[in-house]
Amino acid sequence: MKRLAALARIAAHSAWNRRYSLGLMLLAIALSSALLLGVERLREGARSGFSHSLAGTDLIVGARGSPITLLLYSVFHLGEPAPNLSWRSAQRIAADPAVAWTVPISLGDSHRGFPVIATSTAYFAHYLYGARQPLRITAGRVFAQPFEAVLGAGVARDLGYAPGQRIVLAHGASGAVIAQHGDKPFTIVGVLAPTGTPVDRGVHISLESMEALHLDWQGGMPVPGFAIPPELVSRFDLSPQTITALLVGLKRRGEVFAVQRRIDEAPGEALTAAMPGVALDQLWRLLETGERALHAISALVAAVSLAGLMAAILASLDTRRREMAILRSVGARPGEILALLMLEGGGVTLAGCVGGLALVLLAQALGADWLQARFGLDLASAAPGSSGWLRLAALFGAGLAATLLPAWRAYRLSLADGLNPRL
Amino acid sequence: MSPILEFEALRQRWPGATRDGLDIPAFHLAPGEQLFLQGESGSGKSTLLSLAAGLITPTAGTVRLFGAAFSAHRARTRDRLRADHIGYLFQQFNLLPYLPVLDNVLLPCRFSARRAGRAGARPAHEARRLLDHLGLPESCWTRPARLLSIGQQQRVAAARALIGRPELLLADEPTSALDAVRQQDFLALLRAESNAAQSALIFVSHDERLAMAFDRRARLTDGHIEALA
Repeated sequence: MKRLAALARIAAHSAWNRRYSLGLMLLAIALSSALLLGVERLREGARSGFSHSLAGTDLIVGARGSPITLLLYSVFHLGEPAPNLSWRSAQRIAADPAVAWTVPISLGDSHRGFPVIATSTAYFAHYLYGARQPLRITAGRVFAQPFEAVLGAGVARDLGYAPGQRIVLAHGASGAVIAQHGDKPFTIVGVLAPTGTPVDRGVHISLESMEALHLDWQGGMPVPGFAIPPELVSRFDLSPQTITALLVGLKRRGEVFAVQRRIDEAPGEALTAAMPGVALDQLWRLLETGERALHAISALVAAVSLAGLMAAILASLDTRRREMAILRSVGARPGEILALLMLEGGGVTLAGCVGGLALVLLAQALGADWLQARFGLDLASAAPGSSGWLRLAALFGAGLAATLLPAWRAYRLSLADGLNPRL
Repeated sequence: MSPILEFEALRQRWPGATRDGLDIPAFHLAPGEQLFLQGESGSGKSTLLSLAAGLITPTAGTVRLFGAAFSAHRARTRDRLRADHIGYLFQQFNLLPYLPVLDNVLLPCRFSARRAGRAGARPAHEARRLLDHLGLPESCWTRPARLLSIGQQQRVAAARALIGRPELLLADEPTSALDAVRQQDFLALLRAESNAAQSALIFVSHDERLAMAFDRRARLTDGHIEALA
């Protein structure tokens, strides 16, 4: 033990003496382990974020198209807008005897980058997330009449809003705002509890409000010289023509395939009824190739940095032959020379792994909210998962293995050189 | 008193060589004895020291340490015996350049419990005492060895070889980097300290002028030892 402590002390001094090249190696290993961990965290975050966001919904119905596009757009507000379905079709589905409830969703407007979700009050009753948890209002109430809005927790927090304040919505999604609905401001009447899902980023209004906003619009543009003031909108029919999607809950889950087939095959408008879980699985399968490529690249980066470590230690051996001969002369055994080199390589790799872990945790702490908002990734859990630890362990093991070759060469050299290194 | 180091019918031939590098029928060194061994480069000095230190084993014959066959032991045992009983002083001093002076001196105590034990209750005290006796200013003791002058490094190397009072001190041209006056000074210090430690000393040098101080002198020529009057 004492000898090992002495070796460790010498290794530390020796390493400090070469701190710049070793520091660079450490940085390279830290970055590659951060990459290895980060890719894994993002993958886990994406999966848990997506599967966490919607529970209790048996079918999502939209106009005929890709179930993935429909799911991503209507629930996660990501990707390309899905085509609309008619309100009539939505009402017909709601009347199906197997259907327990429906929640309409209409998208397209935004407020300072946050999507506006036009829906019905059924949304607050039936939307479930995580382990089938319902939405909860922390302040105020749900909307009851036109021009009232209920904010997700994230919107209220980020913009500092509270019930009673008035806000103006913009036409068009974030980044593609065409015009402000400045003539028809909304009153905030409620704020939802945080959920860690896209709901937090939503500004919820009623379908009628959405219609009222666009009464004096045509073809996606305000009609010039024609405006309907907000106090007069109630004189118009505010039932919607179309919606983006319809969330459907069934009385018995077992009927999901039958209802899906009925919707798909219904005469008239061509519709798609997607099971959220199945659509997500399709999405993962679609992304698998990309994930595999990312994993392969991060493994390659790790291999390159370990090869660099091996090269750096090998290159230093020639200049360190005298050092090893000295240690031999004062009683260090060849095996201890081996241990010295292993200690150094192992130390650098271990420090690199810890550094990489710290980098990932730091990036996670700083970027979790942004990733959640921008990409719907759920990075809430702090520690890496078991596969993350496995990757770190594999990297550390590979680092030790990469050190073995130079250490073995040092061992051979110190045996051959004795006390007189032939330099 | 039985000899501390003996060579018996010793022959050493390097692979591929046509004649023996060393051929020493008999040689012995008594405990505490100090021997000046004069030899030009190529005379077999390094080979002799490597054999004495147990780094290599002879082609034929035996090296004995304390009467036991040193050269018959396995490399691992020889490593331990060397660390426990032999101090080695190099021509190039061979300090670890990045290690502070005191740590350099204490190296043998880190790898040999026996040397640590013989250095007293506090080896660090003994290291300071040696450095002080060898005339190295205290301001140097915590500095990395590479920052010291040649003369100072030599004293550190001597302290390292002496710490823990090894029974045998092997010095390989340790004064060749010094000017004549400093050579004599250093030699006197080294002899005094090895006397105090009761270490036997083999001092190898090509420089005959240093031989005067020694009672026992020998010359190594083409692998043969002859005693000098």
